[in-house]
Order: sequence, then C-alpha cells, then structure tokens
Amino acid sequence: MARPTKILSAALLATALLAASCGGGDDTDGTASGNGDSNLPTCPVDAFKKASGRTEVVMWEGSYVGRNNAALHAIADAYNLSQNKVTVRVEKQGATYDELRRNYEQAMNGKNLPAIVAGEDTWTQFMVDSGTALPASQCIKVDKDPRAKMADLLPSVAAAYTVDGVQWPGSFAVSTPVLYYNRTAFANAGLDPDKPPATLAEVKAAAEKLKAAKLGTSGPLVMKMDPWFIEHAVTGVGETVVNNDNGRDGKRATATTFDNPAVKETFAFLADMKKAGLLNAVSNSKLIDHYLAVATQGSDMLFETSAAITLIAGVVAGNLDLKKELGDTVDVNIPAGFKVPFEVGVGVYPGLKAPGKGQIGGSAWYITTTGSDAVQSAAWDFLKYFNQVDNQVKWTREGSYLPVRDKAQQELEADPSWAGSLIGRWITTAYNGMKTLNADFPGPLIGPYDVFREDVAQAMESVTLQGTDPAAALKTAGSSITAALKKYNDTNF
Amino acid sequence: MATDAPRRGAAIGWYVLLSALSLIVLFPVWMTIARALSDGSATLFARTPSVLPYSPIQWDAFSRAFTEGGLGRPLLVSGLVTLIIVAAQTATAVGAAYAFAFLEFPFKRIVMVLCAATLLLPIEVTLIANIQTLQEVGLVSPSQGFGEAIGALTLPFLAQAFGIFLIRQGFLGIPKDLRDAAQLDGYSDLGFLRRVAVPVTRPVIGSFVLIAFLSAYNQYVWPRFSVKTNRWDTVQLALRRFGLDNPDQLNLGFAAAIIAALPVLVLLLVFQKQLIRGLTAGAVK
Repeated sequence: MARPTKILSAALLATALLAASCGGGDDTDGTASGNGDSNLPTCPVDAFKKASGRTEVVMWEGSYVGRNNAALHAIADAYNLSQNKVTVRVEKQGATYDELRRNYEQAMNGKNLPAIVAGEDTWTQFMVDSGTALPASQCIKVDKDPRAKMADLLPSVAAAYTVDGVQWPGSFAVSTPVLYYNRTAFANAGLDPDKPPATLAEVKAAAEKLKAAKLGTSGPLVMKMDPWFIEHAVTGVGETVVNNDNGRDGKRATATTFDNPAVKETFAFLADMKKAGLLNAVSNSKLIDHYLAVATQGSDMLFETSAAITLIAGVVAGNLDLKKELGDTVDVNIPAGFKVPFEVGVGVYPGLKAPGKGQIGGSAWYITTTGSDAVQSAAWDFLKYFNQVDNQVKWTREGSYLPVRDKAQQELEADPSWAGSLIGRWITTAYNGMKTLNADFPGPLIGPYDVFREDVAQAMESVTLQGTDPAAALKTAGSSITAALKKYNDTNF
Repeated sequence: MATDAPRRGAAIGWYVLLSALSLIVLFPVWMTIARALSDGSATLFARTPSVLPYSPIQWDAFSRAFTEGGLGRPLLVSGLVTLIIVAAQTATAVGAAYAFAFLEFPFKRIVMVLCAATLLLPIEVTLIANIQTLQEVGLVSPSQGFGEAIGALTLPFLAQAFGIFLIRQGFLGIPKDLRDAAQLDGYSDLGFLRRVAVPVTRPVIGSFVLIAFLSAYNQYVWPRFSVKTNRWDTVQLALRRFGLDNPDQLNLGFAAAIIAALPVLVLLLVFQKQLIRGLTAGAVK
C-alpha cells in the first residue's frame, strides 16, 4: 500500500513540477528552497468585484471533523451572507491529510484545483515547489485594505510558513500536541492530578506508578505512532531532523540528521516504554483506536492534537454543569444521561527537557493559481474575512484551533465565561504550550515530507510493535529518506 | 414408522446447522441495529463489549441520522445513478448478447475474448486512466455541476461484460428451430429479439437487472474518486463523510448505514427468487 502511493505521488509531483518549472516559476540554481521574488505570481486583489454575479470559491479540506468542521462551515456561511459577490463552498476531500494530498496531486495533474486548499503543516515546501500556490505575502504587499495586514500574527506561526521571506499560506488552523490524561486514575495511583508530567521522563515515572496501581492495563500511555510527536520533542530541544538547518538555511535538506542525541533519546523513550509494558502503541494508520483506549481506561495518558479539545470536552461534558463549564455560546453534544466514569485533564506536551517548545502543527490555507483572477482574488477576500479577530475567536471557541492572533487570545481571555470553562482552560493550556515555541527555530522544511513522515512512522512502529532496535530502525528510515530527498532534489531542481 | 425417526433426526440436524449459519450471517446485522440504538458516548466508554444496545436507548437515532447526515439528496443521487446504469447496462447487454448468440461477423471469437477479458480487470486497474480521461473532458473537477457528476458516476458503467455473458447464455438456450421459424415468418433480428428472445429469457434479464442494481447502488471506490463535490455525494460517500464527522456519536453512523441499506433490503426481499434464479442460471443444464 505504501510503496505504490509513494511512487504515484512522486510521479504526479514530478509531472507537476516539470510543468511548473517550464513556466519559469522556480529557481534553477539547485540550492534555494523558495522562489525568487520576481518569479512569484502577482495577486489580483479585488478582481472579483468586476466579475458579473457571484464568484465561486471552492475550498478543499481533509482534516476538520465534528465541531471544528461545523465552525468552518458556519464562518463560510456567514461570509456568504455578508456580501453578494463571492460564494465559498467548503468541500471535504478525504479523511486524512494524506488522502487530501492524493486528491490535490491528482487535481494538479489535470490543473483542476480548488481555489483554496487547507494543507497540512508539512506541505509548505511542496506548495512552494508545486507552482500552484499564490503566496499570501504577495497579496498582503499590494492590498490596501487594512484587513489584509495582521501585525499581531504570532511570530512562530509566521516563521513556520515563511520561506526565504515569503509567507505562503494566508490563513491557519494551528494546533499543538497536548497530553490528555485521566485525572481520576492519577488520583487513584497517588499522582497529583493538577500536576501532569512535564517531560518524557516524568511521563515514564507516572506510567510506572499507574502500572503499579494496576491502572492503564493496556499500557498507561497510549500513543499513535505519528512522527509529529517525535518532531516536536526534537525541535523542542533545538535539534534538527534534516541537514542544512532543517532545510531552512537557504539550501534544501539533502539528508537526515538522525544521529543527533535528541532523535536517539526520543526513540529510546519509545523502546523503553514499550519494553517496560508502559506504552500502548497504536499504528499510525488508525483513526480512533487511541481515543478508545483512554475511553475504555485501557490507557490513562494520551498524546494528541489540541484540535480535539472541543470534541473531547463535548463527550465528557455529561459530568459537568454545562452552563457553568461551557457557557451558552458553545454548541456541544451533551450525552443524554450517560456519565463518563472518570475526569479528564489536559497538560502541555511533555518535552525532552521542558514542556512545550516544539513546532507549529495543524494546517495552513493556500490560495491556488489555476483559477481566474476573479477566483484568486475572491479566495483572498475570504481569507481576509476569516482572519478577522471575531472570526478567529469563533474558530478557537468552537473549532478549538489555537489563536494565531494575539488580539484573538486577548478577547477570549477577557470573557470569563469562556476563560473559566473546561474548553477555555484546556485551550489556554495548549496555547501556553504553543507560546513557548521558538520563532527562530520553526521546525523542518522538507520537500518530500510525506515520505519522511511515512518512513519515520514505520521506524516508530517497527521499534514499538516489532521490537526492532531503535538504531537499526533509524538507520533504515534515514537511508530511505535521504534517498527520497536526493530524488526530489535531483528530479526537480 | 421405523424410517421416520432417522429422517426427522437428520432434518433437525440440518435445521440446527442452518440456524447456526443464519446466526453467523445475521450477527453483524444485529450488531449494526444494536449500535444504532445505543447511546454514542456509552458505546465509546464501554469497557466490556455487549451484544445489547447501551442505554439510554436512542430511539431517535434514525431520524437524527437522516436529517443531520443530510441523507435525502445522496439517496436521490444514488437512485438516479443506479437507474441510469441499470437501464444502460441492460440495453447494451441485451444487444451485445444477441449479436454474440445469433449473428455471425468477422473476428467474433476475438471480440468475445476481448469482451470477456474486461471481466478480469478490477476497477483499480482502470481507475486512474478513467479519472484522467474524465478530468480532461471536464466531468471531474472541483466545480463539478449536477450533470457532470452524474456523467462521471455513470459513464464508465454503461456497458458491462458480465451482463452480456449472462444474457448470452440465456439466448443460447433458445432452440435454433425457433429462430429459423421466426425468420421464415419474416422476423428481422430486431423483431426476433423484441418478440421472442427477450420474452423467453425474461427471468435471466430480470436477474441481471437485480444484480446490476446491487452493484451500481453499492459502488464506493469509483464515486470516491469521481465525485469532487460533496453536494453530489452518493449515499455510500455520504455515509463515510457522516461517520468521520461524528466520531463522538457512533450510533448515528450505524443508523445511517441501516437507512442506506433499506432500498437493497427491500429489493432482496421482494425479488429474491429472481436473484437466485439468475445466480444459478447455466449451472444446471
């Protein structure tokens, strides 16, 4: 399954990149990771205003579920009602980012792209190279509308999505990994439920206590074998996963740097936890098994995205005084009469040395270049609308994506009904974790990031599910990724 | 009297065996119903699996699934797509089967073999090439309209080798003398097809219609790639989207699956004799 996908992706990408390079859109010196400013497409600001009738903007996403999906549709609907020149239509094109990516690459081939695509945080270099994205900074530069500028955009967000001084996506759905934990089990095991583990070593110590108390019998920590967690831990201590300063020093990444101590330490954590019966490792291909492990109390700690906060809060809300905890403005599913048999807590993602740090996760919204000027400008107009503080507040409040604008967080904190609510407290915890990110070290920039993730996930699974030695698993993944980097760079630049 | 006891014993044995097999077949159906009626959160948090619904029972699961899942339009799209595919496949299969059964033309064997070879190609083999073709003619795109979506969903399935061979088998059962007599009476090929061949093989054609209906209605892979607009999702696509979007309300996904299965279930109950006859056609000479 994996191999044909990779080959197909590579073939489609190669075709698209060849087409893009024929159009003169990319640097050809073989070193730069971005585009020269003169080669960038221009932003046809406000062209839609001259078009007759409504311009349709199709937006593709593949990752928003439950309440964050509902929040996105609500904002798009409100935008459609707020004016009469543009209609935004949000389309689900997959259940995962991988599936969305396959659909996007397939559409690239036929030049049938949506006006906006909500790509994963890993897509940055791919979107730069694909020649299909209109950089947001091109629009920001020429648009006189004051809504176009976001002076209070968090520096870590801007840094993550900026390549050679060019900010590519226009809007964001930012999330960060957090620790969800069973507070009741913590109390029963003699752990302080108000002090979740802050480092991976503390996670291990807590897991040992839970195991000793015969809790979390499937492995006290459940973790999907998602490379995202590894990257956060490694980036959090200022180490790289690929060379050339994580592909961000003006030269493309050409090899992995898996021999650094942070990568080794993170993999050793996985191996040790598994060996000691403290880790319930779930394959990266599973969608909800790790959530179920916590729900059924097979495990009591879970590393997962902060984007699941409103969903999880909705499920556990049956235990709470909803008016007090959630406020009136949040529409959550209230279980009819069912009481969740334990309390849930959220902690900042435990790092190797300190909690938080890491890198920006989630998705970013790109405007594509294959649409008419009217479509591109209409897409930009929608992103400007979405970026406004009130919509950002709604996006966080109902969709649980973290505020990317300081003003949005300030507005949320100023509302005591939200700040004191379960969702408010959890989001604030995640936000505080995100604020620790280092804007000068925003995480890796990798062309074939999909291959990187696939190979690292295989290494994680091989260590935890098959008992492979971490050094051997890392060596296999490292060689495969380095070969993929070479192929990507040789084929296209 | 003496031989009745062993016979009765054998019959009881058969019934026990058949009942056990029925239970195996019906178990997933029951579990789907039980989960549809269960409280979604209680299902998530259940530490030990149960074959009974988790309380409180959600009697409104079906109405909620229909409205919240917006199943009305997908059911209509699936119905229309199925209708077009079945009508077209029946027409093309009858015509082609007649040619293979009664007419002589150059390279008949080769054409038949080529036709048969398409049976060996699973949809995955032709998927990407077909999607690209439809992209090029503008039927598959992010701004896909209703007509384009219906075109993309039906175009590759307007003719199918299975039907041609099934109906050809039926036509071959018609005595040659009957055709000779019809020709002497001045019947053209079309006249013979319409007045004799089709009426005589109606049970086989009826069975094919049912089989074509089931396969068209239950399609998943092709619609997944060819429908680029959620508005024109078939019911199978809508089920997936709905399930993904409500991970915390598992019961609604199960309820939606039952609603989607209803048309098939009704069809099977009403036409089961024809279906069995079609599946066993040609098995006994």
